[in-house]
Amino acid sequence: MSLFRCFWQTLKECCTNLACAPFFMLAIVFYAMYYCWPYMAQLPEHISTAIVDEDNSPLSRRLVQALRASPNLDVLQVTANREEAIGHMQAQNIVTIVGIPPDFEKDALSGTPTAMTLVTNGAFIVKSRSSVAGASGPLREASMAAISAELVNNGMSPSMLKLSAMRAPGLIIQPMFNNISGYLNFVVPIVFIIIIQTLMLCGTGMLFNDWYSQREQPEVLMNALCSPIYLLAVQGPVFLISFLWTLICEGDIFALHGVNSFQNVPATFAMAAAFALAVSSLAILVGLLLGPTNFVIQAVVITSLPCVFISGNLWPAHNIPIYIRALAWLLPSTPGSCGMMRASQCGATVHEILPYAAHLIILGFAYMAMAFIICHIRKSLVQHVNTGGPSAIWKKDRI
Amino acid sequence: MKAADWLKAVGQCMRREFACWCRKPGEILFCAYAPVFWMLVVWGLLGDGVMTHLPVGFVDDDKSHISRKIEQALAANRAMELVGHENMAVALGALRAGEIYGVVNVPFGYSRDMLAGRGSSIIAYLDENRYAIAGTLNAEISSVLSALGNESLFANALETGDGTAGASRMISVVHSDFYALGNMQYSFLAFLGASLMPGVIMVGAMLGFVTAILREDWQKEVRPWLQSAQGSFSAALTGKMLPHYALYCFIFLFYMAIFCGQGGFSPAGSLLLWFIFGCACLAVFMAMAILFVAIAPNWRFALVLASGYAAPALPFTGFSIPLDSMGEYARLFAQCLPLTWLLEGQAQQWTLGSSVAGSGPIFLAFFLLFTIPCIIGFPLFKWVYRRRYLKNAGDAA
Repeated sequence: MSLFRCFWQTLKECCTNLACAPFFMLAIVFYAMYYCWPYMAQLPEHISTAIVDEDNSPLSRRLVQALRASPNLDVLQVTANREEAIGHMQAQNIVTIVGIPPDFEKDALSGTPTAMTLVTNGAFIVKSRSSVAGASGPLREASMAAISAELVNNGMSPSMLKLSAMRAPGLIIQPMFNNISGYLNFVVPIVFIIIIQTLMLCGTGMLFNDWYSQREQPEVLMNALCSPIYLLAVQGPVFLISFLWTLICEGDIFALHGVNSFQNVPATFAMAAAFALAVSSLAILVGLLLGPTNFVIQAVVITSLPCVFISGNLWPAHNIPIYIRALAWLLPSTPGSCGMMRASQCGATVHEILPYAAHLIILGFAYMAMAFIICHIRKSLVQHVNTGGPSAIWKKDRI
Repeated sequence: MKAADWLKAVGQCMRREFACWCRKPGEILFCAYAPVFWMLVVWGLLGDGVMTHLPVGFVDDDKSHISRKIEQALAANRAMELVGHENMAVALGALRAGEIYGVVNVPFGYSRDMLAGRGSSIIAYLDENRYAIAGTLNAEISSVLSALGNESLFANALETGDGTAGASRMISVVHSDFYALGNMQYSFLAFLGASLMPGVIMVGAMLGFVTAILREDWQKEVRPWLQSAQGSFSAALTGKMLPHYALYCFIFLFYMAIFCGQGGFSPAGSLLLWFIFGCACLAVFMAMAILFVAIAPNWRFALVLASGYAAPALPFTGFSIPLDSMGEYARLFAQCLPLTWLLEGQAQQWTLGSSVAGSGPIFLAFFLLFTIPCIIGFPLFKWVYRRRYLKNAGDAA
């Protein structure tokens, strides 16, 4: 069998063999729609809220109106009964309760300290922060108005008051690389790298599983086990498919969802190639190790969720303990997601993504070297079996 | 079959399942130890759940005593570790390369404009591709500057001659109190631990349940399995699933012990109800596992369906983007997933202290999500397995 035939045969199997084709061909298209679906709204808004207005004064009504106008909040109920609102919160019909205390307006005008309360569910930080952000604007406005009135009452001149307001340090937040601060724009580029890794590992593992489970092992597998060059020919199609899917995700799929990408074209291509190399090498290693068993999917799928979080993009890498960071460094998704995000979403240059690409290339070579060693061991075992040795275990116990 | 015979068949099947399971170290490794391992990795990676020492660039174009005061105030915040940059071009390059998470810039003439009463603003450039980190930095920088603003307000209030107590009263006349129930410190350990760990357990459980059924197919032992249950499919499935179900219930209990015990996030409600929600969610996954095995044309496809159902379910639970913000159909779909209800029920008991009556809709949802796949899956499973493995009538018996 020629090298090209080995490559072609593997590519054909990847695309048509039902054991692995769903992973290589269909799953990413499915995930492109399915995974993005909940994030389509982009912003965590419309948090269901109840307002407990125990004051029922013109000031409290103005506050209620301002809270209703906030896009972060969806005011479902305005009541004077705190217990009723608590009941709704416990049944999870609402997430947030804004409380305006009795005599709120009277206290604000007379200079007696008073407080508005916002109670939210700490189990969901995103909801909680969004509702605080939504309520803080109207609350700050009311608070500043009361403070100003108090200062003027105590003899401060309005011009001095204005000057002091101007002296407070203002803050402009400039969101970078994801200008709308969209949730989809943030999650999808990270997660898709992990999805591609998971699918390539599963696909290759299942292809090897299918090869191993055939009564007569196919020539492609036998050649790959016997010669490193043929193993590279088997890796070639996996590399090609990973590379193409990474580019399609960064290109068409992200464009469909409005995620900015390809900000630096050469760097994005370089990262896609380095990532595909590392992923395809790991996939071959997984195929060789787990292919003879039926546990490829069980072993790989469970890693997908933690991989997202140990990549250092959602939870900062600086705060991850070193032993978990070391584990993360062994996975192509860690440098892959960081580097690809830098190149494609942030527009980093080839020079700037070099550390990530180098990391991936080292991983790619290391995994390939391990795959060669495993092939060598297997070959020795086969020879041992053929010469009548006692260890035929691996062959019998392959399933 | 009489109830006593049925129970006896279940017992026999369970004994057989234990024996088969113990002979498959691969299955124990990947379906029992691996989920626990990854669950502990998730728990371990979050540390104490508070982001600290995040490298943030600082570009002082003003170079005045006011800008130095701002730098000192920012540097004193535990979330940030300021990294000085010569100019914005260098700082933005570092931001683009991912070396820092944000840049704080004090612009030229900032102090001059401030002192002249024209007002000026500090600019914070945040990497919103790392949304959670940017959100934390946004909150921290805002709070530092708000404290500086209050300082200046306090100084002005002192000029009214009412003394420190009077000034303090004046600037806090109307204030706001925020309470995040169950997680006052906004700990990511509590937030992510409570979402990801059950997520990992449920994915592991789903794959474990499916693997347990498929094992008989791989080992070509479907007939002995059914024979051990005296030909009763219900006894065979019950006997096979119960040990795995018990194992995952135990893992869920272990998660609760870590979360509430070691993490110190004590529940406002009932631990028992919380555990019952976990068990109910596992039961739904078990029913779905039977359905997937029944409808899949082969074992590989059954695993594909199982992983496709369980693994991407977490974003639909509303733990990241809230359910309130999702589109109508996405929200409806999310309510068909057991993990959504588990996280709701868990939040009810952990942070809100709801009563059993308040959890009624959650119990109803679990009941429906368990019953529907059972009604469809069990007869289908029986029919498919009979057709596939027991061609002659009475084979199993």
